[in-house]
Amino acid sequence: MEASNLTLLLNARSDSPACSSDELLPLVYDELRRMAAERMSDELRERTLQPTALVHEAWLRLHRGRHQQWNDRFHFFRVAVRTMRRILVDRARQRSSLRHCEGAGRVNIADIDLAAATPDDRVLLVNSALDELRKLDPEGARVVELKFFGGFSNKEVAWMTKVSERTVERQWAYAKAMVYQLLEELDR
Amino acid sequence: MNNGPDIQLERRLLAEALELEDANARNAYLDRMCAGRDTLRARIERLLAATARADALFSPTGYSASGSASASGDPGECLTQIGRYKLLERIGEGGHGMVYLAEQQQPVKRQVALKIIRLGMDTARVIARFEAERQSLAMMEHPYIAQVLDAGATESGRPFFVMELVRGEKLCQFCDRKRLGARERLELFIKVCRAIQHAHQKGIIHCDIKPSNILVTELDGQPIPKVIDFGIARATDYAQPGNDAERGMFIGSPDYMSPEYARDGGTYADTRSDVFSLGAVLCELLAAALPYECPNWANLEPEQIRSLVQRRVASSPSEVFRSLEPDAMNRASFCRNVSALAHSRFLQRDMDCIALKALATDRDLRYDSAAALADDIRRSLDGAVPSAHPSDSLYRMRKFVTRNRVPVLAAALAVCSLTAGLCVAMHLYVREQQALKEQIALRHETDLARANESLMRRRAEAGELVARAAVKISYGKVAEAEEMMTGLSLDLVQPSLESSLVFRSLGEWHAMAGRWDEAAHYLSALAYSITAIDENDTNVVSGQVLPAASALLESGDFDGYERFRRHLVERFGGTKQSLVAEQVIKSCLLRPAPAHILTALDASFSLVSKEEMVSSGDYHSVELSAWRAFSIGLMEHRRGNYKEALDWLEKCSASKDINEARLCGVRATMAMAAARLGNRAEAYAYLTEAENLLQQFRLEAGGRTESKLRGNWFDWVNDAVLAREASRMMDAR
Repeated sequence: MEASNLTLLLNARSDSPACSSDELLPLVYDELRRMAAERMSDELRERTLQPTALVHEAWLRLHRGRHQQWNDRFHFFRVAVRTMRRILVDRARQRSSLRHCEGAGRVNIADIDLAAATPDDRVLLVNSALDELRKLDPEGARVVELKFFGGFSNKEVAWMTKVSERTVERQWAYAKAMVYQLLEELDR
Repeated sequence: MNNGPDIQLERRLLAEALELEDANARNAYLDRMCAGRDTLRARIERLLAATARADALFSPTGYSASGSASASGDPGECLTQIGRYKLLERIGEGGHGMVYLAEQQQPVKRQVALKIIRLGMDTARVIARFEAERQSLAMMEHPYIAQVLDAGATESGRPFFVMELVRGEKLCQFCDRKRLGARERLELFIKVCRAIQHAHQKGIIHCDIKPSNILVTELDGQPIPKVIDFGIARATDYAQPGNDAERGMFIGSPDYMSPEYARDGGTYADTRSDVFSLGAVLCELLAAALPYECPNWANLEPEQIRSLVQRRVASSPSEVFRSLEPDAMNRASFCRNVSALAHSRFLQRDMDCIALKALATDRDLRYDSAAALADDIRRSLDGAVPSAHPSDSLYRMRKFVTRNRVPVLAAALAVCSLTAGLCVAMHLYVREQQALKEQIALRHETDLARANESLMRRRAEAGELVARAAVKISYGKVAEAEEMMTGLSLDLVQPSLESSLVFRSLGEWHAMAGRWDEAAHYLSALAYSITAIDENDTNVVSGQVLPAASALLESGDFDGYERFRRHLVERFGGTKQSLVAEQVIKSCLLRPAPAHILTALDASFSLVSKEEMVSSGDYHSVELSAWRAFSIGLMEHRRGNYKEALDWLEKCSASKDINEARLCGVRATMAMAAARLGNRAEAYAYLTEAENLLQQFRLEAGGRTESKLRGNWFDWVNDAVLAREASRMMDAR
């Protein structure tokens, strides 16, 4: 199987533990852009935000502090993914508040038909359970962030978090079921 | 120490349980691993149960960027895609679920409406139920009905239905916006009734008729109604889980629901349940409100809803209209383009009684079909008196002489006679010394009463069975009807329109399958009962006898046939209708007839002959004339006037009206006449022609129900009977 760009990139940078974001930008830009594209459905892409714009926005948010130093080779991606998550959630809130006219609110999991739920609904749903999940299952929460908001594959997550792919699979399956359960509990 | 769940362990158990696809294996695994730890076991079970929905929630496909394969999941498949339908936008939300505008991609690209059922019901059963009705649904083709095209299950396991897309406005909304007057509203409503009637004729009951299921579009300025959601209420109702708690769930809106539907669900609902809902829609359409109070259903328990719906009694539209709040009444009058007073008077004239008849709690008192409701409205619009009008004596009679009265009366009588008998017996016991003679006489009376009671009860049961069989037949479920009727002694059945329908349908169903004993059983019962109750001298009655004669002969019941034709000449011997005479002659002479039968048919024969002399040669009478010639020829043959027979039959076969079945019978009879005259070659030629036609019919009719060849099935049976007689005759010579 062909290794993704990201994996190559990670490999390439793994020998230099501390590097500045300026150096990293050109290297990860394409990959970040791919991640961004994955976050946007066809219909979304037509509208408000182009993937490139999303990347720029993520980058800007990352660099409130201009000379941030990254602690290790994955630190950057974790922060990047978290930033992406924030952008996606903000955007979904804005749009759903426009749609529902009732202020930004999470939809009720029991009310919606998951097969037909919009990407915005999904983002808001998963996001609303993620902090709770982190308290119970921090590893699972990280896998959800990387996979759901970051779009990384099991293999990439495994590599980043230094566990086997099989473990990632299990963490992912458990975390998904937990998120769903937490959402059901939140409904009550 | 650690009170929280052991994540590592749970994660492992979940993953391993998920790998076991077999439910039993999974249970065994969990039994072993969680032995003694009920909390853990319960947590894993909950996680397992959440997995499918969780996957649907996380399925990344909603985001998948086209082109680049998604790294985190299955690429390419879009969640807004259900089967071969792509969801485009949400267009509505109803009691059942959400409705989407969707695009069908195969086999043709078109836009459809896709409805996802909301309630957690047994998807497999919903779909099975839909599949069962799919054929009948497919047969429904009506400009005022939106077709249901498909059904299936979404990934999350909910049933969905695909319908023809109708871009219309809800019935009441449309009428109000257009400010349609009462007459225009009624014209539109009649169209709706016609659509419902069409579906009923195909055996489909809607079960959820309400204004939001009747959409109106405009075509060339004409409002066109479209009834949507056919088959959905029924499919979902049947799939309700069996246990009581879940069965309590309520499908559809109680606002328009008939009492019997609320009581029994769809199981015993019939076309008259739809008539009730139509009545409720009619009232709302005219009077701007429903004919009974409708509380906020959401606050009520299913059981409360059920009992409210069963107990409510409809008010008349004019009462409903008059009791509107002043504001609402003003608005309603404005929307109907009429003054409140005039509208109220209009409603009082005919609409009150029409709506109330449709809304009767006892379904036997309702219109028996949507068409009857529409016809009554039409009569009112045309200025005639509708049948529902209380001044109509027929209405009053019908109201009193209903089917249920018979068993009730019978039961009351039986109880009285039984009690009387019992008293008498006690009296006798105390005064044992009384004369033996008297005792015997009285005991005899008691026995009689008891026998009478039993007969009455059996009649009532038979009546009930026939009524249920009639309902089955109206849905096209003939085999189930037959199962109910099997073993029932038909002379217990009181003649009625219902019983005629059941006998005729079952008789023909058996005849088509070649089960002639059963066919004869039903068809002769029908012929006897109808000739007994309907004393009219009309071919409507006599038309029922020919199939019976055919079936009796084909089943080989010659004694039955003799009895039957004696009955026929008695009943119809003095007919004044040539059509009746001609049918009776044919029915009685399918076998050589003894002198007394021939004599009894003399009057009929001269009637037919006279009619044939004076008949004009116009186009309609060509067919009738040909049939007359056939019956005259057959009669002459049976009388022994073979030359005359051949003349008439030849005349018949030369008719411009072509009917292969008749021709076949003619040739078979000619074969016999020619044989009697000693013209063997001629006779063979005729017989061969008859047999060829029969052969052709059998081939044609073999795999299909429709044949290119003309003629009723019983005509062909009669042909076979006559041809067999001819061939036996020639073998004998």
